[in-house]
Amino acid sequence: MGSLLRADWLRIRRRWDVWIIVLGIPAMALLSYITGAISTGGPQIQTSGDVPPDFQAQMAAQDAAMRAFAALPYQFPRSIATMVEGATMWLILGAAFLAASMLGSEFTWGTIRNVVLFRPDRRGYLSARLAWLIGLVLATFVAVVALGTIAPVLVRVDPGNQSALTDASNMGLFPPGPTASVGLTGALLVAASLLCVALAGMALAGLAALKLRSTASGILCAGIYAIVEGIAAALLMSRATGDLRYVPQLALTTRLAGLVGDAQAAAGLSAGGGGQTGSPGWVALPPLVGAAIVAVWLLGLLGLWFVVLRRADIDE
Amino acid sequence: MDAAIEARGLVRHFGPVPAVDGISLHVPRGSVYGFLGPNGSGKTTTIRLLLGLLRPERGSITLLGGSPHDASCLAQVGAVVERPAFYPYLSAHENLRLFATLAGMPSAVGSAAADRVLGVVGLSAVAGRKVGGFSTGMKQRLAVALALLREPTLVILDEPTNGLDPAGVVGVRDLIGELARSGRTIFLSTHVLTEVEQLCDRVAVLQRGRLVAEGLTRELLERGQRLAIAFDTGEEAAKAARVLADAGLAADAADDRENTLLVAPDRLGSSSINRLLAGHDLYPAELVLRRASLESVFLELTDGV
Repeated sequence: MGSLLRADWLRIRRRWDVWIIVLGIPAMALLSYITGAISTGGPQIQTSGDVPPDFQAQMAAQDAAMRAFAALPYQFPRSIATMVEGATMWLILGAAFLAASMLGSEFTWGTIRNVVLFRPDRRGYLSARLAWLIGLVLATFVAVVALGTIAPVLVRVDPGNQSALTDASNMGLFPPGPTASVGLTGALLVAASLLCVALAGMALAGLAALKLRSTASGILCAGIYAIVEGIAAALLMSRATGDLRYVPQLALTTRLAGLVGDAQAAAGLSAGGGGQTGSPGWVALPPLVGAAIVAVWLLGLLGLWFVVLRRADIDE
Repeated sequence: MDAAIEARGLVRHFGPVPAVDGISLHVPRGSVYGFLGPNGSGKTTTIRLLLGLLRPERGSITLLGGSPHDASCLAQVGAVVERPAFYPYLSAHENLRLFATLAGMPSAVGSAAADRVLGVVGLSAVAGRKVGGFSTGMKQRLAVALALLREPTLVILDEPTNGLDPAGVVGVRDLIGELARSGRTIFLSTHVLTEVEQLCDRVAVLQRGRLVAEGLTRELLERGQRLAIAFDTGEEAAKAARVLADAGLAADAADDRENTLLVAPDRLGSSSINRLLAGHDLYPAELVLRRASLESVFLELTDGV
């Protein structure tokens, strides 16, 4: 296994696309965070013309409350969740691209043939490749989490008057979301749920790339699958009755949305459920059951990698 | 003799088409074995089956006494299969070092082995250049270098001179000769029949997934030789053809010369044929044994495909 990992390192260290993803995603997340943090400094409520003094005072109080609310995502530890949420789409795309590219390009270039001739143990080869992929996705994720940890120090956002958030006169002023601070565990839980989404993207795109023996086809096929499955699950959810209501809850996209929603609810970032909880026909599953279904999906998809490669004819 | 490659009854279809249809091979250790066949005859598929890249639907394969899926067995095999395949963003040396690492060689050993084989194929000067910028010929030479990286005892070469310039062809041919002299077994699939004629001591000819001939190159060439019997007149030639036919010998008219018959001398020797004709008052003006080229034997065996 050691030689397989070392051989992969010789490959990976020279691939600029890998490093663009691993370094670029945290950079994009930081940029997105800074942009959001800077925008909280401006006035939240603007008035024009002559405004009566008592109304002005009321508006100022509401503005203070709104500023305090807008500053919440940029306070540690919630900044971690904010940073990861800002990078989620890039993380999913990056993880999917890494998997599809690192597996599909072996077939495109025909190098899989040399690999198999020099290392006929296909399971070992794929295990090393999977270890690297998970390592790269984790490194990117950890970098994003680390940036979320230090970002409040780098970009200071005035928390404002936090007591205004709980002022009864401001009830109904804020969009749905927490008005209290989020704990470290909660923030990490949300970040971890988003990591699961990225890993699922990696597993799905990797499987498609292995099956179709192409990077581009792998990414395209995984994307189409996710969209079609999401639509089919939503359609079924809106129509199914009785025990059939649980069937769409088993779909990968539905379960990932549920996982993120459950994590957000547990962290206090949302009232509960999250994701598609508003969809007609949504059935709430116990969070642990939901997480277990996601785990089964992940293990199943990764297990299929090995089945596909083990049975594959190498005619490149 | 102990076999380097032993294959029995290999069958492999692609869709309904049989790419390999019941091929059996016995390649003795230390031999240079030519594997011939027209395009699409199943040569590359057979090589992929031998190397364990494809799985046969039927049949068995033994490489150097082991299975082609066994790492220790494949460690003694070097192969060039069809077009060369390398990581374009790595240099020639890095590509070789990567596969040496994959094969479990320590870093220093792998690096030294890469240097050695790059020298053998004449690519030392460009060892640090990215393979993406290599010409087809350079990639082909690098593929040969990769095949030699583990100092194999069995070398399987599928069209190793493809894309090479004349100097490159001569270089690879010399290299094959050198490998053969060092006692390695060479399994050479090629379209260049002069290569086979010069290098190979045994030959197999493939046609539509089946073996149509197999044996010593010398014997195959003997099978293709013809006795050219020239007469002074057309009447004599026609009468001689009837006499030979009665004796069970097929005589064809030569395309390149009038009043001349071509006879396969395998059943009767040339002196017996001469005696037979003389017994019927037929005296050839000339009787010459025409040696066959591998090309003519190949075309005859493969119906000129």
